[in-house]
Amino acid sequence: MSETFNSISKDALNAFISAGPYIIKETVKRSMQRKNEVEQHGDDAEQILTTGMEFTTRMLETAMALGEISILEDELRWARDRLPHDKVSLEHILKRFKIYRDVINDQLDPEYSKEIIPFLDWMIKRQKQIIEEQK
Amino acid sequence: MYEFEKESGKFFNLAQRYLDALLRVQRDAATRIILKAVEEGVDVKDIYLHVFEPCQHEIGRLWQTNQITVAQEHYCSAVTQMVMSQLYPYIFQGKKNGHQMVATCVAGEMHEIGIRMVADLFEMDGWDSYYLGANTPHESILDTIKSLNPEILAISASIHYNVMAAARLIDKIKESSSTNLKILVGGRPFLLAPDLWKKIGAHGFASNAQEAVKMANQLISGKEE
Repeated sequence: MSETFNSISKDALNAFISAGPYIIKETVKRSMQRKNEVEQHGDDAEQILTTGMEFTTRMLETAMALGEISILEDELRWARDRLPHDKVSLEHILKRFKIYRDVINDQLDPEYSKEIIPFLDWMIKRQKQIIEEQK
Repeated sequence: MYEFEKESGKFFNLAQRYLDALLRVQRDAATRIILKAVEEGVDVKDIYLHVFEPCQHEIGRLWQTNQITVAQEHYCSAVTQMVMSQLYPYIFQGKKNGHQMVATCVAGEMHEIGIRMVADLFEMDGWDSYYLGANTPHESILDTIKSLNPEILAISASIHYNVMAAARLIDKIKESSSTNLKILVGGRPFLLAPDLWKKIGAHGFASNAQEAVKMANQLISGKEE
């Protein structure tokens, strides 16, 4: 999946960084409502999801600031190999990316979200491929 | 051929024995394996490049695929750092070439073995190296540059998002310094994206410690591509 992405504008990046804490909190909140997808984590679920979303947010910020999709590609490969051992399934990752995209669409000005969403779309598409490859 | 064998090359057997000792929690045996190899004539550079580096990568892969725990990973890394220290009598005995370099992780970066290996290989090449370690505050790095006035600064960012910290550090250095300092970067993200080093304003990128020394020598002699 060698697609070319350019850096997003400074305004869009700053909007994303400013909204980061809310995006993480809201994505975790909506994900926690899907109880059958988080019950395996027990009392640690909220913390595990928050850590994951913080990580995703920092990776996205880097990829968007530098226009480097290879950073996200490598992280998705890493997640494929590592996270199932931590009881986070590949399908759950996909669902959380979709929730994350919804939150960005809900929260950010369309002027900025239109620059950010292509990165999320790419992650979702790639994650679907990874799930297929694992079958 | 799997990755570990490929990376260790003709030192595969030595690397395999060292890794086995680490994973069996046999620190003394691991140390003896390396010291004996050096006494028998294996170059310390080869130990770094074809034993320590592939072993660290393999340990990372073993953790990633849940074959060892975080604690085991940390133990293996700690032992390797201890063995590296025991090799210092071999490393710090060479003739000096009059050049100085500073090696550091960016703020927030905790993976320090790679950049420590870089500093040691510079030392083996005759440079005076100043290794600042993991998670170094950027103000401290700037102060060090100001006081030592090195020719090369080698920056490590292993976790992808720490590339942004490297970018911010390079910006600060360029704002605050009028020296001819050349900045090299390294770490996994730079291996993935060949032009990433240019995007963050570095003067060069090296894929391993040996390449870093080679690149630095080119940069200070003005022969960089």
